[in-house]
Amino acid sequence: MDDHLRIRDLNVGFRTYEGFRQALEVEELTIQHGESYGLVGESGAGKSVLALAVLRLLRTPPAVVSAGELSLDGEDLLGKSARRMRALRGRDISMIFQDPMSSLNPVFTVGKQLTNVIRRIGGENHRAAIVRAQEMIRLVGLPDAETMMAKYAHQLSGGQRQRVIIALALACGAQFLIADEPTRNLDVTVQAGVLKTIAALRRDLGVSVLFIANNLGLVSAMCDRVGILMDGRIVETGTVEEVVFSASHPYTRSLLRAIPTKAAGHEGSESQWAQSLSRFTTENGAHCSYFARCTEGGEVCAGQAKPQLSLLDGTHYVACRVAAATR
Amino acid sequence: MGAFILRRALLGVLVVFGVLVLTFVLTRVVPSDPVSQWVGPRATAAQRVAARGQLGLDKPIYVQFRVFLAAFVRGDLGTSLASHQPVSKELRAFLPATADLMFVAVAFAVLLGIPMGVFSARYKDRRPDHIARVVAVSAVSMPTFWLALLLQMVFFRWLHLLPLGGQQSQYYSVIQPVPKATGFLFLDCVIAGNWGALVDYLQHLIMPAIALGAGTLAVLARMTRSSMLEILNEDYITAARSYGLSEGVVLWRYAFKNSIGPTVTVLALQIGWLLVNTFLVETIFNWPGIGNYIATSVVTLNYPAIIAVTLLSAVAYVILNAVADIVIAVDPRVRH
Repeated sequence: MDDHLRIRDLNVGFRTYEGFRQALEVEELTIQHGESYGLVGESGAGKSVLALAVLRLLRTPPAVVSAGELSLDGEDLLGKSARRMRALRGRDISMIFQDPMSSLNPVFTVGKQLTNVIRRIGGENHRAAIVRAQEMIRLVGLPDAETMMAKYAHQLSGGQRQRVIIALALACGAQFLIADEPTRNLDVTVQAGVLKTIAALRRDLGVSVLFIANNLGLVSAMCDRVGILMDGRIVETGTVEEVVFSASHPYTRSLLRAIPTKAAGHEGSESQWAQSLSRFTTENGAHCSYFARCTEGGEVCAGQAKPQLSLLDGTHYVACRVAAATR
Repeated sequence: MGAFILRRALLGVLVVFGVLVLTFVLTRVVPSDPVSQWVGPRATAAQRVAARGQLGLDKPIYVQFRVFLAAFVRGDLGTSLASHQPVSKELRAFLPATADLMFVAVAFAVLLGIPMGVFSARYKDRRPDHIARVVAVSAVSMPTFWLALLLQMVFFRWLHLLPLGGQQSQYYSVIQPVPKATGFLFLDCVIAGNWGALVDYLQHLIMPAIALGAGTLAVLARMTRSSMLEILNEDYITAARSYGLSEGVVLWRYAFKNSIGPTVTVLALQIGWLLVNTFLVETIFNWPGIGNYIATSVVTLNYPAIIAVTLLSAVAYVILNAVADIVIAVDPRVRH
């Protein structure tokens, strides 16, 4: 397997009226062809910023994006002109947005939105675009493609909308898909259906997926590898087995405790949750940004620079001094 | 949809009736002497009594209102106190000039103001946005009469580019008049094939139309900008970009169609406001339209004319707002 998406030293910050804010500092993230990589972190950790930065959809300014490398299939993305980047979007890389309620245009029918996307590359005539749109609707598991084409977003349920959004993202045959919390605002039963659809599409179309979520349990069921994002940095990464069954970063363990289980509900206490509400450290490079709320931090952590990712074993990396010391 | 239009129409009739009652009562309450206006300064007492009867002023006010209402339903708007001509006939004579002027003013405001707002939003906080905002704020904060005078000074007095006022040069109004076919000078010129007269007319139209439309242009630009900015922040716009749709499609179809609602509503209100503003503009530019007519009528307390023009404005307002609501109802969210 060769690398599909490769990110090295990606930095994203925002110029605000209160000064510059660093939002993302990713040392390395590589996703291989056909692989599904899960990115987990609490709200505000920078997951969506990462997704938009890869697609180059952040407005610059206020965003400032720099990277050692950002490439798709070996093609550099950062140096591309706006026009060539646009040609790439949808065709080679696409994205499912997190909120099905607000990600569909309310004044165009489903069919119109699909054919607009399909015909944008040109070549396809109207009839062929309609046939292809109906194909896409069937592909994402929606019944009755003809009537579905004539519907507006507000006539659809949340699950139906999210399926339409998936169809839109894949309509131009993108081989790399970013799924940004695709089941965030859906009922649990509907969630399962949408996740199954994504899994099936991945299998049938062989697309690589960057799956973003705030639920580690969900990601471990969907993905081959996992990365834990905290305050804009990946603090632990490895295969699902490595990260879930031998979680090494205290933050990862707190995420695992946060997964509701049938047996005990939350193990994590209320106060722990309150503590883990995200806040950015404005002082750059002071120390491990988890230090203030870490229950395991010791003297090794105090006053030190931010810990870098270091290899534990196999493909398991962690950015934590305590974990690295007790290896 | 049919029920919606019917409800709007009924509501409109009610509004017009209300305006009718108000203006009727107001013109009777204002201290004035319609009889003297009607008979002139050198009338005898007998002539005055006869005129009182002829105008129906000897009857109680509710009877007067009934008579007025019955005549109104027949399309009779009364007789001008100044000219003894039917008001409806005078309105017909003055309306075309105002209609032409308003049409050009609105076209100027819409065709320039809306694109200005869209580009302003597209290039937010960059140079095109700054320029558009300065233009819009200046235009909206400048009183109409002041702008009119400025235009006259610059384009007539300094640059000698445009005529000072009026609708036509003397050559076309007196020596070589365009034959009247529709009453609308623009159409008449086209029908007669008199291109010289047409160019002359358009030259006379430019300044009043700009003076009249500038405020509306600014309001439309500001409105379009803010609603576009709101829409451009929506997820479905970022989503549309992520599918690789071109910036033109995203801007003019995906975003613009969603943002047009508030602009249409404001435009309808603005046109009503424009009708009022023609009073000023037509007086300054000596434009032979309704505004000029009403300005004279108000000064001479020619109350049938005042009532007629007030009604005309009310009806225009009601119709325009109904049309705006129906246009907005093309939005599928409203329709269902």
